[in-house]
Amino acid sequence: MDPIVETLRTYIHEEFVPDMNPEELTATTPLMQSGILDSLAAIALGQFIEERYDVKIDPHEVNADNFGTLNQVATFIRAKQNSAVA
Amino acid sequence: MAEPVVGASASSAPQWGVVAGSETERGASSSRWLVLPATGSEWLRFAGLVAQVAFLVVLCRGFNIENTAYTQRLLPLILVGFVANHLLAPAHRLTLFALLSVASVPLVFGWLEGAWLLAIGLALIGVCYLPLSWGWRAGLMAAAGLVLVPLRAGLVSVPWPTSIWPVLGSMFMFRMIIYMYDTRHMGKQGWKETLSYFFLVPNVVFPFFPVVDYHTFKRAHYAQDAFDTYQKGVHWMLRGITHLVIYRLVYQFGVISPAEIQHTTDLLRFVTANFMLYLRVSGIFHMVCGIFFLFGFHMPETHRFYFLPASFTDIWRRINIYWKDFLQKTVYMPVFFRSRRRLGELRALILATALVIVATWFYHSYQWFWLLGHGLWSVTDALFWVILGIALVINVVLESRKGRVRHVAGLQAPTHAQAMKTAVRTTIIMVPLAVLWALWTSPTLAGFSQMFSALSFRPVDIVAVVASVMMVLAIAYGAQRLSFGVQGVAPERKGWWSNPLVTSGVPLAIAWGAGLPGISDRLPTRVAEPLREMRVTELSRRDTQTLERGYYENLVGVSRFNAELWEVYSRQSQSDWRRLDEIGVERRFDDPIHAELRPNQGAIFHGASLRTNRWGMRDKDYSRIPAPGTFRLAMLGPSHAMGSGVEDDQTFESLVESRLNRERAGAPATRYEILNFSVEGFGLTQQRILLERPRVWEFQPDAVLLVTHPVEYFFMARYIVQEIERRGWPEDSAMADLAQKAGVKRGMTDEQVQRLIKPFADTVIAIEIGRMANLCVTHNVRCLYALVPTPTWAAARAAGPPMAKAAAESGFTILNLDHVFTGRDARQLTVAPWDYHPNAKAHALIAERMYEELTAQPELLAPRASRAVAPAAAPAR
Repeated sequence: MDPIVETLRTYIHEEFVPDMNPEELTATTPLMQSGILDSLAAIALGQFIEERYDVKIDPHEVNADNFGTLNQVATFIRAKQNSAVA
Repeated sequence: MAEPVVGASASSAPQWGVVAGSETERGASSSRWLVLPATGSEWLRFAGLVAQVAFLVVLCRGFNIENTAYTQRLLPLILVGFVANHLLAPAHRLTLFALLSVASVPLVFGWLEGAWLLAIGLALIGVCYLPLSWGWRAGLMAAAGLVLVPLRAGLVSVPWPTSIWPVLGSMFMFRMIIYMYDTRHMGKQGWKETLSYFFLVPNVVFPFFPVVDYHTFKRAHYAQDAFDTYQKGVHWMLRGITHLVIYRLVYQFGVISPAEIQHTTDLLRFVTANFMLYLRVSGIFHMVCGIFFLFGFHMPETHRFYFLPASFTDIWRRINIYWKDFLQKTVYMPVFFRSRRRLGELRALILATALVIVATWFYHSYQWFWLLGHGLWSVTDALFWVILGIALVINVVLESRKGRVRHVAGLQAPTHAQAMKTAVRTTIIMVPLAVLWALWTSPTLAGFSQMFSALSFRPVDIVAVVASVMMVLAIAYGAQRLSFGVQGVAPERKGWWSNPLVTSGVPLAIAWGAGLPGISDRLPTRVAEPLREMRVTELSRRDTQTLERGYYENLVGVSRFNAELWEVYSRQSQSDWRRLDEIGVERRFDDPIHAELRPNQGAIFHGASLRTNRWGMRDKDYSRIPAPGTFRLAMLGPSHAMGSGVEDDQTFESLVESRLNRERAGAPATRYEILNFSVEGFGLTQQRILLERPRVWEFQPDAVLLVTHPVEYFFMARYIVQEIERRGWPEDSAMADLAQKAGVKRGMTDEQVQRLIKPFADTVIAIEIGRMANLCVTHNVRCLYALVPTPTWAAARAAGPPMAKAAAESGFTILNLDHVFTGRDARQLTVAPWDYHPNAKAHALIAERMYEELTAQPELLAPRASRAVAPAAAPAR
């Protein structure tokens, strides 16, 4: 599995949905639509990403395109890292 | 493939999505106009959906959902548009949606008003396309908004019809903020997307519209399988109709005015019913978003079991989710991200939450300004948001420190213990929420505190409170166990019995069928009445009273809780609806009777000519002394007896008089004269004062006809308030006693006084009627009584029988007009939507019934053998 996805999955499971069967939280589970990521959780996840991957997130980037699923979050992180390198 | 897949990169703006799941559409090319279903099963599924949408159209028309513009004009367009949209190649679907959205404006408003609305809208949109930097465009847009403020407030006259304001405001007041925000990050947008977004097809008939997010709207277009999306739209629209039908029942049968709160049970009913009025908003939002789904927009949900919140933040997350997302995007996130390093996480969270509440409070009044033309600022409103804000901040701090376990869509059904825990929390949170809601509902702080002064502890009150608590607990627990509160437990997975077409569609169809005149006539009144109320849009008793108060005092008693009334006022042509004193026909003066009509006046009053004779009556001329053999009837009453809003020869008084002379001349009288002493705004007290003076008796009537209003105590309350304003305390002894006994104090509003005097109202009305009967006996004339109902059925059922009973017991002969409007559409019988008075057609109905009642007892029409001589009394004032 994508290491970024795996890291995010562990974080989200432990922080927001500890009661959930970890196997059910997949790379394509809808995070915002399902209620896992509400405003507080989105902010916490954003902070975690900033610290862990050394990227800066702008408020408008916390949306369903970038935070919709674990796959999308991983893609978003990579795009941020690439743009920082460029 | 027709269009690219939605991008998920951080920097690029999302693009229009492709259809997923339909092989036919996958193979579509943008060069082709039509893409027909490829297989028989696809045709079958599509035909099934078309049938379902047609069923929705029939249901909406059957229940007269919201307004005729929606059911008669827009829904057929949506049905045709739905079919055309699906058969079009995906590349052209958005173009069709944009064209339908633009076309809906003139379709509903007509060419002239529609052209104005489109022109102003396009001018505003044009600012977004100016070849300037985003900052300049945003500044220009703000300036354009500021220019429109005085125009909307009516401070500057505008060349366009004022009726377009609410819809124009609704289309641009929030969407422009979101659009500017998103285009800052997404760049300039194409015309199809922009036109679709601003002129969103159902907006033209729903000024109360969800705050649709542009980014979400754009990425939602065919983001999921087309057929699944359409099906969801059907389900959402069904849910919307269900909410709106339940809302109507609550609105008509549940809501009471603050004046009617006498005990704890009333308070419980008041708060519960007012909270449930929110069903209208959720109903409209489901309907609106359901329409989006029919055109391929797979939108997020708008509400999620908002009646069952487990905390203050929970209700914020469940109720009006689009609003929450709007503020999260434009206020919460920017404030938090900008202040977190300076203030630290926790303080930044508190600041962001507090500012969201401030913004919500401000935006509510901002919204009302654009819809209504003036803001809604009140102490109770501000206090509501302050308290809610504090509660939310505390909740946010607790959640951020302790964390919150989230349930996941469709994967977890709570255990017994979890469900009970959440249900208990829901029950507990409902108490402060109900109190807070009551505060928000109250026009004044004094009114709110007075509401709670009605708290009583009778056994029935205690039982009602305990039963309510147990009911909330049971429902909350059941909802948790059945996973209602868990999003994503799709009904399809539970079986056919949970399909919305079965749970909502079938009951709605049965209710509609049972409400058909031929069927409901055979049902008991208790069943037939709700069935009827489901099918019509009428003002409730409370709003009828507010409308009447507004009529007399030029007040627009509209708040967030009587949106029906707001819609009525939004159609009003203010310039034609001035008061009698404002057009010089009525004189208001310092006297317990308050007003009289000026003699020999002529004016256009509420769209009809109104003339007064030399005696100051709204009537033709009469000699002071009747000719021998003439039967003379003196009629006293309020505005509907005066004939407000109808021509001089269309009043029921005039029609009855003419018909009597036409058909009954010679027997029992040679001639019949009905002298109309009615004056707008006259209640029983003023009519009694009039009878105590020589004015009526000088004309030597043979009989007096007393016409009353269905809600007389409202007139009494208004009279007392006016007397206190004018002279500190009512001069009339009966009203002074009533005010003292009821505990009325200076500075109280009409509604407060109404509530206080209501327990005494029936007694006082009986006394007033008795005093008038005595006056008739003193003057040796017959006394007749008629309660003439207003066409609005709800008002008519308010308080008829007790008054008629009191009149009968006092010796009045009753002319029974109780059911004169039964079975008729009240909307066809009023002068205007915003004016509840009977129109010419209604006056004709009243006249017909009154004629029958009078001629059924010919002795009533016989002239007296000897006319009484007017007793010497104080000179007429």
